[in-house]
Amino acid sequence: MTHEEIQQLAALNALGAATADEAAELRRHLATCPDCRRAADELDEAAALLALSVDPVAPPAQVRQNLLRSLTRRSRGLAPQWWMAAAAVLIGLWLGTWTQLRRAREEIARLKSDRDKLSATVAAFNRSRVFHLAGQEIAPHSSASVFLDPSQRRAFVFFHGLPPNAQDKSYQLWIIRADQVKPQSAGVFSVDAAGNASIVVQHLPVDTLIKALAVTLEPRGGMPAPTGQKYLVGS
Amino acid sequence: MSKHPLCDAALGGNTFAFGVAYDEYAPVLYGLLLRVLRDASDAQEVLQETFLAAWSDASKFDSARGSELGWLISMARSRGIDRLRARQRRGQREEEAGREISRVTSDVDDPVAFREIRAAVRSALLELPEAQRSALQMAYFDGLSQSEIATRLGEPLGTIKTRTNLAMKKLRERLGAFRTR
Repeated sequence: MTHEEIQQLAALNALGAATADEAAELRRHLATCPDCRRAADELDEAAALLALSVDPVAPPAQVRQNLLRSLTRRSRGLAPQWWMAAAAVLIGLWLGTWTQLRRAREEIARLKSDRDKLSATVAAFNRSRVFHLAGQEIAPHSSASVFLDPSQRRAFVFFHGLPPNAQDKSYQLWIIRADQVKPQSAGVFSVDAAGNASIVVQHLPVDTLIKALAVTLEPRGGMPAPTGQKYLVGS
Repeated sequence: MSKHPLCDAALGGNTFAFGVAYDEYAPVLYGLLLRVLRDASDAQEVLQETFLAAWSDASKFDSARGSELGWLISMARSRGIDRLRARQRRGQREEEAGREISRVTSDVDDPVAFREIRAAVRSALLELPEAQRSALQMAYFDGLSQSEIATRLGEPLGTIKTRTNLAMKKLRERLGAFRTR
């Protein structure tokens, strides 16, 4: 068959007017002939558009309702995808909530632990032995309060009104023991702009051995033995 | 706007968008099916079947080969003709059906996108000689084979085939350009 004859067949086929044999022959040819294939596509489109020679008529609303209802049912038939997506969202939400819940629990545990520490601290204050350190000549308005908790062998020390220390200097707290000549370092600290600071001193000697406390200004980081001027002294 | 909103909606599983596209296309298809089947109930059933098929087969639509409108019309028409033939085999075609259809009047306007095509189709048909036009219409709307048309008109089969071919050739020239719009 020539291309011309094939395209004549395609014209009949576009109208659904080709016989089964003719349609089969056409398909065979179109499979290998792009030109005739394009012509056939154009003929198909032109034939289809003949529908527009008839006036449009609005179908009853019932058709639309039935159609959409059965599509929705079909969509439900495809439910695995939809359902899994929904489940994934729920699991996501649950995980998010669970994570938040876990964080909240951790926060509660932390707050409880803080509260317990605070209670222990308050209890320690209640049974503590208090020292007051007085400002010396170099800083007469400074002071410090030492709350000594003998049962825990520790002390909370609050310093007030010390001159701000230079960057290369640290204040150092000393314990003067009844059983030793040499003062024992109890820690170094810096004061804030108002001259205040607080430290916790652990592993104190038994309180009966603590004869006195003193604060000196030393090179940054402190010294093995006091070298600087005394700022605070108390017993 | 997409050139194939119905297939996009179907492929996306979007029944709302599918409904919107349905509203655009359904009056064209329903008008066609009423003309082919001359029975509102049959036309409505075939209309629904066509859109269900479009939902399922949207992936088969190839925009390089034709418009979504043409694709839908082809599906509706071939289903309509199948229904018509099945009914004829059962001998159920009512003789007076033609009168019923004459009472159906157009009650909707085309979407803007279709107006230009409709005008082109109508003017192309009007330009055809009457004999070619009726050969075309008997094949398209009544689903008659070329030999059935020849018998009905009392003309040689070759003459009918020639007329149909000439008519289709002109239609292709006038309407082929809408294929990929």
